[in-house]
Amino acid sequence: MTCPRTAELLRADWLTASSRAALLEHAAGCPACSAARTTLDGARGVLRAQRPEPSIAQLVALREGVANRTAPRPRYGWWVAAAAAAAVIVFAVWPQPDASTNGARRPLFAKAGAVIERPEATLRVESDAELRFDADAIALQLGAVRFDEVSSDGLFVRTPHAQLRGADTTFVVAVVADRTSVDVARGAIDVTARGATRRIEAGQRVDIAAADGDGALASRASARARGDRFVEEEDPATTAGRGRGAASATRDDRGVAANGRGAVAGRAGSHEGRGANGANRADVANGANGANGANGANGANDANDANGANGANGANGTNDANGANGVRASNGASTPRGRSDPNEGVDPNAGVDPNEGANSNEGVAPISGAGRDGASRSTAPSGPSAGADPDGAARAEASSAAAAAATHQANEASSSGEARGVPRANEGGTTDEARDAPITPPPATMAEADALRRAERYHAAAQAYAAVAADPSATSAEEARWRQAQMLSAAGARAEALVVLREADAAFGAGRLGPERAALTATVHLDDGSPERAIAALEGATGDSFVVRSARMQIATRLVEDDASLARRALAPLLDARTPTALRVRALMVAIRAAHELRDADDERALRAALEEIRGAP
Amino acid sequence: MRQEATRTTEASITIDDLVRQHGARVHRMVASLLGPGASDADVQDLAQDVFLGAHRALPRFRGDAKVETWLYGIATRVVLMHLRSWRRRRRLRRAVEAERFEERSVDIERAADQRAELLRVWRCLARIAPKKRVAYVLYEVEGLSGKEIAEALDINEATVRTRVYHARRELLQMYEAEGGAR
Repeated sequence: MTCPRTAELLRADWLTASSRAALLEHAAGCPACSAARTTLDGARGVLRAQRPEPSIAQLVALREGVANRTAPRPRYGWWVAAAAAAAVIVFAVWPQPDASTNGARRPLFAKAGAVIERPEATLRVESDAELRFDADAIALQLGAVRFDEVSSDGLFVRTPHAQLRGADTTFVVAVVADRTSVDVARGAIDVTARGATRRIEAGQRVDIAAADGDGALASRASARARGDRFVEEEDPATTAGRGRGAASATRDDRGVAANGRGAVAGRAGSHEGRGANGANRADVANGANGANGANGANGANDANDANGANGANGANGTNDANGANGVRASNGASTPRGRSDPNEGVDPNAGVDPNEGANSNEGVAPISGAGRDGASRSTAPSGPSAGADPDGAARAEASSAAAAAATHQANEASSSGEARGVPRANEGGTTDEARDAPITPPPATMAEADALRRAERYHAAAQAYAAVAADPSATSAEEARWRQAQMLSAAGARAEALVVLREADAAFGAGRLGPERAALTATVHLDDGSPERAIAALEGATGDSFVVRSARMQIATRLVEDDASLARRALAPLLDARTPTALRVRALMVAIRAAHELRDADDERALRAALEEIRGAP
Repeated sequence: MRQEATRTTEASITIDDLVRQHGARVHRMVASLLGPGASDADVQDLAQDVFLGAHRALPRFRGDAKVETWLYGIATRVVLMHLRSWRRRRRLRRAVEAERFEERSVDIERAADQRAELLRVWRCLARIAPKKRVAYVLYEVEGLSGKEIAEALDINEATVRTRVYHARRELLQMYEAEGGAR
């Protein structure tokens, strides 16, 4: 600004008419003022011409966003605060469950992929798992969990087959029907099973109760099942187990408690007998693993088992040396899930557990002797399937696989509460509803899908939009379909995007977002290397809108060097005088290039003239 | 009497009506105030914030001003609040400047493209203080009068003129420094 009056020009709007006229007259002859005026007018013109117009989709999103954020929410006010305070107080003063009581906590069913932060470790659920957080341990009943970043204070994990202790370590525990597998990634853990403890270092793996594992930590063998009465038998132990089970064991009902818990003692007793017998340890293990009729069959062939069974019967106090009793003992032990209670199965102290041993001992003195063989009790989950197996399928060669299958069957039957009418008297206090309640994700909402889109999680966003569109009550189905296609396209799934767009066209016709769909279809085709189809999609668009024009411009710009004639074709509707000036200018620029490429001098001349006409316009 | 009628009319306005009637304009205005460096998500979020603010302020809206002016005021405050963060300002400026490289890498014909012109203007505007820039955009781009801007921003009209004047002066200086008017 070399002219002193340029500053005056900057506030010309507020000058009086006469002053302004004089100033403009000066500006016309002054190069500095003239340049300043041209610059400011040009800047204003550019800014006005290219004011961003919101698309329909953006307006729809705005309306929905505002509606969501201004939707009335229930105000509970003081009631919420009072309820929260009451909950805190109740929680603080409520007597905490005794750690020694079995299964005071409810099991947690965690989906694969879940991450559970605990003070002692981070649990990453690798396959759907059933967990229970006891006071002293984490009980993993089923599934696979990675225990990351185990604290230096240590961690105690209990599975149906083993106990694991470790500190400053990372390991993976997988529990399937008949075995526990442990992989140590870092550090070391102590694995205890059947009374034996082994240290597993980083990089090592151990299977507990595997068919060919080493003697202490893994044992499984085939066993011949010969007894066939056990399944059909009704006896007091069975009745007690069914009727009350462990839950009633906590009440002052000694006879029932003895029966209900008798299985633990019974199994222990049977083991002791086997130990004394020294006959076939494999059979013992199988009997424990089997969780099916085979176990009973073993019992039938083994007088010591029968002793164990008597121990289980406890209150009966009889010492009937037949397999059926063995089975009955197992029945008495029926755990709610048809599997052994891990605490019973692997705890070497189970024999003196105040909840188990004491009850059992009350009923039957010999059973306390069984407790001497702690290791033998580690494999005892047999009862429930004996009760649940209606036809004694496992009577024949009870290989470990069959045993596992029978266990599964028993689990199913037990879960459904139909295992010979055995109620789900569960130690964890879990009800059928709580355990079997399906975990279903909540219905997707547009807001969630939008959040996924903004996070550039295209596949997830596409799924969420699909879910919204599929919801019969959805009010934004059309937009959801369009967004779904957009996300699929962004994720590179162009074929799927086109399918969705076609379906949306069929469902909504021209619809509110017809132009948006046409533009998206064109873009997808263009990305797919089909410019003709892209242009055809735009030509098929109903009505004209900003997005369609923009898509035309985009396609033409991309094609101008490779296929000038197609670019020119795409631009044709934009050269119309009704097109907004800014866009028309851009279209003319590209069209000139296309004409130049095509060596169409007449066309180029006409286009340049049109451009000059716009530039020269006031 | 007329004032009373206006108030009665305004009292019956719902937020949904506001969004339907003024959504496009507010959206465009927010985009204009933020410039081409702003992402769609930012514009969308701020536009929602404007109506959220309007929703909260609706019970206090007396109908003294036009609804548009009132909404412009809210929009301006929302955008200025957004721009209070220097990180956001830097991000917007960098977004505009980042496009310069692309523009220069293409052939000379496209240099005349309006997009390049827009970016050039915005590279200068982005360096002007937000308060002055907002006054300039409202005056020059949105076409509001000085009085309307004063009402919207709750400032004196003379202050509006001063801000617009300074914005123009700085724009002119920077524009010339950028390469001059063509």
